[in-house]
Amino acid sequence: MVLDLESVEVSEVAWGDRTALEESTLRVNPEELRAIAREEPTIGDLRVELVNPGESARIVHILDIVEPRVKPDTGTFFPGLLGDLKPCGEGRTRVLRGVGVTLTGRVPGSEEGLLDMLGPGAELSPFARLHHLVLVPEPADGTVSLAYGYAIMRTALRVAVHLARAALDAPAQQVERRILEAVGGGRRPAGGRGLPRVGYLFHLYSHGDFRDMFFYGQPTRELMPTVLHPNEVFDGAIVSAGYTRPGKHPTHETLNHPVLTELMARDGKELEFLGAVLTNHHAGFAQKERSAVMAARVLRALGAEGVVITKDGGGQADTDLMLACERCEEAGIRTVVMAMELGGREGNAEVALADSSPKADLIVSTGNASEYVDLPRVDRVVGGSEVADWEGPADGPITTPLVRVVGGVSLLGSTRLGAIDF
Amino acid sequence: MASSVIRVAQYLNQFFGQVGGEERADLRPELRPGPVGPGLLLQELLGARGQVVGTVVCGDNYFNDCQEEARTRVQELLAGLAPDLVLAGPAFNAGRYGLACGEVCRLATAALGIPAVTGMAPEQAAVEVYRRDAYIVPTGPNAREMRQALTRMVALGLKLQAGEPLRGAAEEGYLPRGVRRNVLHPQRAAVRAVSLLLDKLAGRQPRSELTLPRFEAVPRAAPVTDLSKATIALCTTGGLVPQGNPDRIESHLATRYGCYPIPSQGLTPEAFEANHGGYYRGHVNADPNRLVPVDVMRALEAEGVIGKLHTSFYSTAGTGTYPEVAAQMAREITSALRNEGAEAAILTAT
Repeated sequence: MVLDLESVEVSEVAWGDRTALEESTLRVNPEELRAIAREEPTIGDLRVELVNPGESARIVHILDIVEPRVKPDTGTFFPGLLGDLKPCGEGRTRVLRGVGVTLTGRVPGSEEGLLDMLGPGAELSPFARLHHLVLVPEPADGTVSLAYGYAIMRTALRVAVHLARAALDAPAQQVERRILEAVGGGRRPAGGRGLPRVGYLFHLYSHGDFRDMFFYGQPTRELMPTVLHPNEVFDGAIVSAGYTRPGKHPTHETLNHPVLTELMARDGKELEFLGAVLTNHHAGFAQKERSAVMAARVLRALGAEGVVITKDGGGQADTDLMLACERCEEAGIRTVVMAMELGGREGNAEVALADSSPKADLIVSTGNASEYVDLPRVDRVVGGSEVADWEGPADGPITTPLVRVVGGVSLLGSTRLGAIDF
Repeated sequence: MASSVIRVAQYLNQFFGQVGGEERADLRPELRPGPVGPGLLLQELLGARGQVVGTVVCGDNYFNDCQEEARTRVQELLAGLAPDLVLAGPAFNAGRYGLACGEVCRLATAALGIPAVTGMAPEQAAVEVYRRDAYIVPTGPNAREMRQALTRMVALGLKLQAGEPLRGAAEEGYLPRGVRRNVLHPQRAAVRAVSLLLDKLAGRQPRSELTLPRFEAVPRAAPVTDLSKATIALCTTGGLVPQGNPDRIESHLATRYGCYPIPSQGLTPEAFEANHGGYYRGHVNADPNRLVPVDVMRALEAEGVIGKLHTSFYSTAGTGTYPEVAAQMAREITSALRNEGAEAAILTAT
């Protein structure tokens, strides 16, 4: 499978009469975005705000951040949600770099997710370097229903595709060709070139309404471990439902999956990348045990000698990490586990993960998400008028666990952050 | 003496203090001017950077058997030396000496505000007792490694004394103190993960960025002898609270819990709500009994299956909660339930 990611860089975003790309300036007509929201009867109103990097601004109540992408041949993206449910991961994909479509709101179970665009808070998150088109939707009848939750998710995706279409004819600054012939071995005889054969086990968090990840348009809550081509991820097969808390990866990060990017970059040089196995953090222990057994079996069938394992969230997700690690190691597949820690405000909780296994002897820390950070006062607050679980004014100085800064801790390893022993 | 020369005090036991062996282990704390025994090597390693101004020598038995007196006296003697840095031992694998060195470091740091370093074999029991309070440099099992141990102790001690920021336990060469802090590595985590996996596959035994604790198993409580006479309480980590969350229990990373009387009419959606950031709360808000099953318990009470339902329930929101906070809440709740006469509790999670 060959996928060309054609990046078009945006250096400035400004309002305009129509949405179009002029040189590297993206002009956006907010009325066009409001019209997109009107396709959804459950959405009453949609406000659109523009927030730029370096602005003294704080975006609150962030549900998801989407990178604008589109397939030039179909004019759409996100198969199963917007586009037809067809296999993706081949051909051309236009990527509007430097822009985030940022969905905000409060839905049942949503945790506060905020982002500062200036000062120490902005240093914490790669998303602070994006120009944000912040969507602030309101339900038509005042009720936050599940249908409304799906409607605002689709709207954010449609807006992202709409913006990407503005770049269809623009020259691409960079074309990254992502090639992986097929998932699994078979390209070369086993051990033929002596490169270690490596797979990736990708956990998603789907626990029911308002807390789902989508794979080809459907929640993964019943998913059994299945093979996944990395290009499918870059091409929009996986979407965050947008209601998960910021300790989980937004769609923008999934589209730029750092582990898959790294494994593809080293494929054929230092390792033979066999592809990914997609699995879910199930809610029941028996399901977790079954998933771990099946994941190890699929990886074994692919011929994996080693595997990188990531999680999605904290707490119960750690049990899946440990079970998968144990079943893989027992099957002769060596593991590295990537783990966001919840090690306490002072980092002295002694138990940074909720589960443990002697087999988990190689762990990469993506950071202690419960370490606190101080954010200074800002001039402007977008996305809401208060910060959840915070008594002071939303624009005032805030002390918050790092996990509430969107992008502050990456479960997939997008940042250089890590916790170490002191 | 130039102000840049650092005043160093050393603590030694009776053996290294050249008083005698086990027969002198009851030696009371004594002050010797300048360096003694390994202190000569210490002075050599310090060179012009520091001066060993005095040595406190104490018997291992005295220090551990007469803790109060020993601590007071050692602290007085150390304070009298007005040191900028205290080095204790190294104790290698000697158990009682290790405990004394750990305590001396704790005293120096906590009571006198003087940076302190000791050295011990990592498998020493004293390490587990003092690693949070003392900087402990790992050493071999015995004094054959005196030079390496003192070299590391001096390097770390001078750094602490200068107030230089430390770059973590592994890089600075001391045993982890039970604290983890965020740092920025040269490479992002995804790159580190792939590199470490390749190292592991090549048999290069890479160092893990996190070492997991072994969880202790919680012993099972003795069964209730006669359920039909027992008072049973309900507890939940599902975050059920009176409407408005009067105790302001956090919905995530909770540090508080509540104790709420069960109204005679039971748990109604008008009076109670779920406050929890980790699950979909719609079903609980529609019927709080589905989280805290008061309806079923009252029916069992009426049938005589259980003696009595406890009059209050305890609740917190269990998502992201730090284990030591959870353990503290559990101790308080258990103690309260005992005082209130409950014999057993049903814990409902989400």
